[in-house]
Amino acid sequence: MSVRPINLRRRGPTLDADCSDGDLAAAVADGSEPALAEIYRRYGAAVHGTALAVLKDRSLAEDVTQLVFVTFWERPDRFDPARGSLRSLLVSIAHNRGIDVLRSNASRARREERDAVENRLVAVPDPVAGEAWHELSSAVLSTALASLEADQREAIELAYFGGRTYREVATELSVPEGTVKSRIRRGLERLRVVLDSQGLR
Amino acid sequence: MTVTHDDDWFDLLGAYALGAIETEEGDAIRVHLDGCDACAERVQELLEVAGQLAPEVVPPPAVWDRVRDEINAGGARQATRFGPSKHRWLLGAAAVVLLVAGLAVGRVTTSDESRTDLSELASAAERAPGSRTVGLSSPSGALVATVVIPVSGPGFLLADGLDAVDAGQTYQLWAVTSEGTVSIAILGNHPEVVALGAPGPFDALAITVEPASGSVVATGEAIAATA
Repeated sequence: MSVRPINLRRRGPTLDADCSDGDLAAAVADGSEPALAEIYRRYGAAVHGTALAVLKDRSLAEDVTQLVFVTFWERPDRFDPARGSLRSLLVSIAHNRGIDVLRSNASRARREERDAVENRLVAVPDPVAGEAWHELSSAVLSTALASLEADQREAIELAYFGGRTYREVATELSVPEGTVKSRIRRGLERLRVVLDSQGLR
Repeated sequence: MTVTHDDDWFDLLGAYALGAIETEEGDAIRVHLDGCDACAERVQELLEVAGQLAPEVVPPPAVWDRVRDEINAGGARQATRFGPSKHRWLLGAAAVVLLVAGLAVGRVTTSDESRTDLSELASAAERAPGSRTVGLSSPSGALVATVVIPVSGPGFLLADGLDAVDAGQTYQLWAVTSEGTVSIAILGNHPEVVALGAPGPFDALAITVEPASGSVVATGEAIAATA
């Protein structure tokens, strides 16, 4: 028995690598696993990078990444193209779940233990060393971050990657809560201007 | 919560965009955002910025495998919330049958023990009245896989000569229909028995080798197809 190979590309399925996030989300709502695979291909690294930056633990970050895409598979209607990008939705789910994990007692204990070890090694009192953030960041983002005041960067870093509330940050830095919130907001707005000017978003 | 749109409030939205608020504060903010488009838009802009803070890190290939296994095990979503799609094979149906058989669905493709049970289910499906089987052969004519299509319930692919490919690749099964080529299942890099769900109508079936996460569009020539 011989078989004539089928050129599948010529047959023109309705989904391809050029289709919009909205089209893919609609296909996911219709149960298309390849559409979810394409979304994963586009944003898996952003999601995983976020989970990893928050949790600093490969295994936990992989669990969160898995959870993000399963969550989206179950609730694709959470994406509304009119309200924001699919990327920011998925990253924000990753960040929220990462924070949840971080705030649970078990992982917090593990993390503090690890931080304590790191602190001994590098002899830095601050558990989240600012330099590490720069090493991890892309060149473009590094440029944007460099444009921030040091205290703005510190507040954003402790809050976003450290999983602290602004109250915890205030306590940690011994500054008023209002000051912390203000640093975070001014820092984010500054980043927005710089990232916009570099066409990053 | 009474909101004054002043600097203090906008500062709080900044902290909210970073997830740096207490749970109760977050609940109150969400209530406000539901009714205030201007604030919702402002938060969205800050979320887009926050979403750029972390560097991108490609997850290991195994993570997609776990996503795929989990969504295939939880196929009830389609049946209950969206109804069946005419282009899809109901992967969920396979999961339901396996649950009835008392298996842990998540282990279907990972455990030798459950693979044996899957083989038994496939054999039972093959013997069921009205079932048909379709052979997929390589271009050289060797039979490499058989697809069992029962009258109702899940279908199965039984591989017989699909050699293991790299961990970064997977076999993927496609249905060629009058409306295009649609993916039926991502088979893994060394498939033996794979549950497919209840098949829809098709003109032909084909198997390609794709990157491990599977492809939306087949990227290669078929390595096997129905006659």
